[in-house]
Amino acid sequence: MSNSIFKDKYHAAFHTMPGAIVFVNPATFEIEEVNAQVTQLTGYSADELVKEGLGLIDSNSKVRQLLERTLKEKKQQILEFDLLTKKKESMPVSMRVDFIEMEHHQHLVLVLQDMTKVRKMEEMVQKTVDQKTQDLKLALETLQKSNQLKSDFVAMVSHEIRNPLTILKSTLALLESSKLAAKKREEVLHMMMRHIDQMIDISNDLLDVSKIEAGVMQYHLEKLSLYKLLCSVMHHFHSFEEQCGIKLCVECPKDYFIYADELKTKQILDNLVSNAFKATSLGGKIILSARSSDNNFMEILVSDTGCGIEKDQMQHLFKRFVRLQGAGAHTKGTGLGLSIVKSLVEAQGGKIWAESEVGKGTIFRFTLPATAVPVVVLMDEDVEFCEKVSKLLEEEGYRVKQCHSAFRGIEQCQEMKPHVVVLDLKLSDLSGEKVVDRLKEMPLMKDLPFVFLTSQKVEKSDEKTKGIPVVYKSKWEYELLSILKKQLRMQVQREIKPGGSV
Amino acid sequence: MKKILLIDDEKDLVETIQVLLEAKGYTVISAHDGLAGLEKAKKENPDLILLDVMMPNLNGYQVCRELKKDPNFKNTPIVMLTAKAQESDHFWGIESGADDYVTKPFDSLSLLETIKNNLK
Repeated sequence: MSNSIFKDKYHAAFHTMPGAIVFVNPATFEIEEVNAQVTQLTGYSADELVKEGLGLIDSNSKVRQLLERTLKEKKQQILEFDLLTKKKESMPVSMRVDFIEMEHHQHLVLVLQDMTKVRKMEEMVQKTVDQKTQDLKLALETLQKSNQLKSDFVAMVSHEIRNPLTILKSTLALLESSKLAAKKREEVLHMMMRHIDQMIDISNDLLDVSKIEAGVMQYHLEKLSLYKLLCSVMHHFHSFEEQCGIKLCVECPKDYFIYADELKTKQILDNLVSNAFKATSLGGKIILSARSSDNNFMEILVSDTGCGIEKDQMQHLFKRFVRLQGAGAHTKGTGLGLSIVKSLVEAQGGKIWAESEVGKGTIFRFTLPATAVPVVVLMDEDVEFCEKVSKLLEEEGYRVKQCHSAFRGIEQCQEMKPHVVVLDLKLSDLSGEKVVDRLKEMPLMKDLPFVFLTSQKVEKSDEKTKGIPVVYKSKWEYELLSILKKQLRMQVQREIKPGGSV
Repeated sequence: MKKILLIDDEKDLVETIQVLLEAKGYTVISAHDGLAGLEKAKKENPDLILLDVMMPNLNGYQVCRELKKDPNFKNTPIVMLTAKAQESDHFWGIESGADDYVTKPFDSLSLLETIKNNLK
């Protein structure tokens, strides 16, 4: 190969290769030659660079120092630095320097690479890592906190149970050993009864919490007269009224009804009213009232003229295991009451909140449905179809929860406790029949009615669809509503007791 | 007649133990929280103190530590009534200077036994 052809080839390669290359004279450190990429990178022309020298792009002599080191050590050096472009912009670059000998000439070869994108990527990664680290720290803190709460809870339960047990044991010894006067004996028996009741309360709370956690709390919804319900709660506390010198009254129109579980709703009210009694002092007043709120809900209020709750305590009010500090603090109790109340209200579709002013009193408010709003869980992978069905059902007064997979659907059923489930026969993570089997295994869901959806022809075989009605997607608008009504009527009948009110 | 000070915030328990101990010939005085207990101890100079742990206004350990600092109580036995059966409670009891402990729920015989032993 002739020398000139070789030079041409070299020249072409030098200017077209993607790396930015600078040749430097090792004796003088003058720039001998640069390729087009260097011009592009720095903004300086080849002439400018050759004429002005390295100083143009090497303001603090870092490059110069590296070149000297390359010569001294006779081996490749790498440096990352900020290059100043002609536009006076700082650009992060990585530079590799090699010492080479060609045709008895010595050269320093500098290969520059723009690191802007890499740096940006690094920064982004760093930011993501920082964020995730922060998240993890937070999660860890939350876990540690909840762990601490649980240990405190165990200590507290052990204290709350051991104390009445101690009293029972000592009182038994008292009854056994000494000749007690009849009156004293009666007093001791009363004391024992009180502490046994206290232990029953604690074990009931613990049982409720474990039922709520396991998702097996059962609700029997029926139409209840709110007036009668509030009155029965008032009567329940009648003896307290006299004992504590507190007036308890009901303000509620007689034609207000709710659609809820009677026992659970009484439990909610019992808890709130007994809290109100604890917080209110002699001569105070507790009012049970109701008002009709929007969206077919009734709002029930328990207001007292008690000591009130400190502002900073309000956010912890409904948290599990937390007992109030400061004003309104009671030494008795498991710290579970209000968290149970919250679960009971929310499981029936309501909300609960409180307002309080220290020294003036507290109002607990909660809502419960005034009419039966049937809840439908809809499982279908076709998002568009789900939207269409939801829209129609919601117009007809149903509450619909869409789920686009079987597993999500099963999860939602446990959470929402629906009145009916509408599901596709062929969900890809689990077939419709398997979903039904899975749900029927759960005690709460064993009577749940279902409706299958399908886009394919199903052989009329009860074996396959277990007697569950099938709606074809091609004509669902005509069939679904009437089948739903039929399925729901069966269930509503099962739930409402004869004569069904308080 | 030996005088026993019982400090516990559970009034029913105080009443029951009081009747039990009085039947055995002890004089019993009581207080329902830590601070009141401390004051009563200094005023009444009991022969033995029964001290609950979880109480409002100074817990049992705090009361015990305060009392043991006072030379007048150096030889007064203090028996802790712990509601928790955890090792750490016994550790803290001894650390704060308690002479003995009884774990709730205790039976009257073992309480009486512990009192007798510590009064020797």
